[in-house]
Amino acid sequence: MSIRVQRDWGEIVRRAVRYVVLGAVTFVVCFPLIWALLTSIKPTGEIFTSPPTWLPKELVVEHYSALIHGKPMYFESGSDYTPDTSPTQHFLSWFFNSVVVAFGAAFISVAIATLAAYSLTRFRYHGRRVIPYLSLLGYMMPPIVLVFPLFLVIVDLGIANSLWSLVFGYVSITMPFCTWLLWAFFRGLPVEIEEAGLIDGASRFQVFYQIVLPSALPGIIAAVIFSVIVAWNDYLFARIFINSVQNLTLTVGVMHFFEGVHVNWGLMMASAVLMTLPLAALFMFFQRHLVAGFGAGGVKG
Amino acid sequence: MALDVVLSRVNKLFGSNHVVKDVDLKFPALNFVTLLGPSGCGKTTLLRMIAGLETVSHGDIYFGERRINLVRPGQRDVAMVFQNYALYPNMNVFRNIAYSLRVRGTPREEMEKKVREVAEILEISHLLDRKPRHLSGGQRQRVALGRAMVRNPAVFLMDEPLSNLDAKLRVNMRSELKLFHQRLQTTTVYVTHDQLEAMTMSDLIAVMHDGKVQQFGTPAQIYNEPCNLFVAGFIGSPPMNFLPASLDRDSGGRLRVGGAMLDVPGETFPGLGDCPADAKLVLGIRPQDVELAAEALPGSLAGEVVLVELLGSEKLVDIRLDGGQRLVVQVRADRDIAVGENVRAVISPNAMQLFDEASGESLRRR
Repeated sequence: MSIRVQRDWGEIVRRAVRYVVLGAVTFVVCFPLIWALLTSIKPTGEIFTSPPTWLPKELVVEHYSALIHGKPMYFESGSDYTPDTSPTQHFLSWFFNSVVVAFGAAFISVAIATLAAYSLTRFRYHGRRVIPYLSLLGYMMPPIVLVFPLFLVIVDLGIANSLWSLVFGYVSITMPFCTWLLWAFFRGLPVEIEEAGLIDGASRFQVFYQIVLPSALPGIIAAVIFSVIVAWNDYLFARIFINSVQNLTLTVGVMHFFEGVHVNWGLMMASAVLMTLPLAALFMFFQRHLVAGFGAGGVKG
Repeated sequence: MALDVVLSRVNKLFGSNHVVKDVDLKFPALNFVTLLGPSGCGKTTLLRMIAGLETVSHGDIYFGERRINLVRPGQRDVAMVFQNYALYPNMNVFRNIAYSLRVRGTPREEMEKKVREVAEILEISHLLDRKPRHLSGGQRQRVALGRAMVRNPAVFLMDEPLSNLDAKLRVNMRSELKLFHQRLQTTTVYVTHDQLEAMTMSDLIAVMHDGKVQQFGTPAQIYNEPCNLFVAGFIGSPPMNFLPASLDRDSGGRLRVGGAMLDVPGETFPGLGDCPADAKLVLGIRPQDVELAAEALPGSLAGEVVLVELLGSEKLVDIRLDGGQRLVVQVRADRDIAVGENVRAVISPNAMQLFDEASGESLRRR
């Protein structure tokens, strides 16, 4: 005899409502991205048709190919056109700059923060209790307050208008938070596993890189992703520290597609998509670690 | 090779906090020695000093002839099992067990052979590829033992290794640990607050309280001849009864307890004659060493039953003596006894303990 499954209509309705609400919110949140993607594959002529077309009538990759091949697009018709000033020519180097700056800053920031956090949780010295909170406080300081003093320092160091200036700038804003995040993470690691390692005959350094670092990997990945995102999305520092076109990062570089009244929306949207994709991919790949990392910080910090 | 472990006037201070005070102990090679005491008594700190995880503030520790105060933990040839097992979370079982061999640069094949041998003995061969988080408590325990076993250490240290297991597994692991100790042929130092573990497993027990060793001896000595009130009260379940007592010179040195007079076996308590006449004493008697009688025998204590607890094969009878003191007596479960009944408690003179109330020291001959 088969068992008759009873239907709980209340539960079915509740579930349906839940999906509708969540779907709506997701759509609203994702709409700019969807619109950017759709606009980027429309021919320039179709972008401003009224009423707007949802799906492109004609699918084109000209914006993407222009960015990647550095082909002048809109500007060739302008009277003041010179081949060197077409922003599309710089797109790849901006992209490259962004990658270098974001990952370089993340690497330096997390390397220092890992060692600092380990020391704060495992060694006894004055101030080890307040430093994590102070560094969190430092992160809460708005970057705009820091940017001009930092700029003066950077000028003194003679690295203004170089990618190093951005790397140092980003390290200075991400490292305190990474330290706090990893501090919370290391506090959750039992010290006994290190003692077991010492008794097993490993040196402190071996214990650190064979046992502690692998165990702290989720926290370290979370800190890296956080640092990359901050650096990747930054506009302020790049706008102020850099003044030559080829040294710009994507966020500021893309602003060159605004040329007075001429705005090439196709290029803008294609750039936006290309800027978002790498980080979205990174996010998805490491999402599990990210949640675990921030979770540990949240519960124990 | 197993070694003696000798602690000579060992002290530990954390700032001004004196947690281990003048500990003088000698653990003979191949013995299973337990440091027993309530939490905060300094037993774990002492073990960590033997392991080299804490420095010694004053005093010396020797393994055999070798003073090891300044030897790093990795060079002491000790293995340790931690309360939370402290398995390396990023390594699978094989790599956990092999780690000590790996850092010593053991050749691959030898390492492989040793780890498989140990896994075989501990019956964890099928788990070698798993990460610690996918193991049960008992399996983790075995991996922790395997990590110690593969080293074949001179001294084996265990810090409350059973306290994270459920009650049934704990009893099984108790006998396994004992067998493990015999197989390993080492000197084992075991820390616990559970007197039952200490009694069942140890060759020697050091009872600690307040940073000091109260008594060091075999389980039978500790149980039968506790040297002071703390040890007497800490060891034994249900705990020993304590009754205030005083000497009565007029009756030739008998003991006055409440309204009754008890005979004291003089040869067991030779110090009693030197006691001042007004000395305050404490009579200690285990619930198992008291008989209940219906009629008024001489030297028996009269009282009323206030509570009866059935433990299965025994009953605990809680009696309020006429003087107001409480006395717990253990009787067989089939003995009929009811709350409110008037009974007489007869104390077996050979089983009694006498302590000086002021110092807490036993008056028994040692």
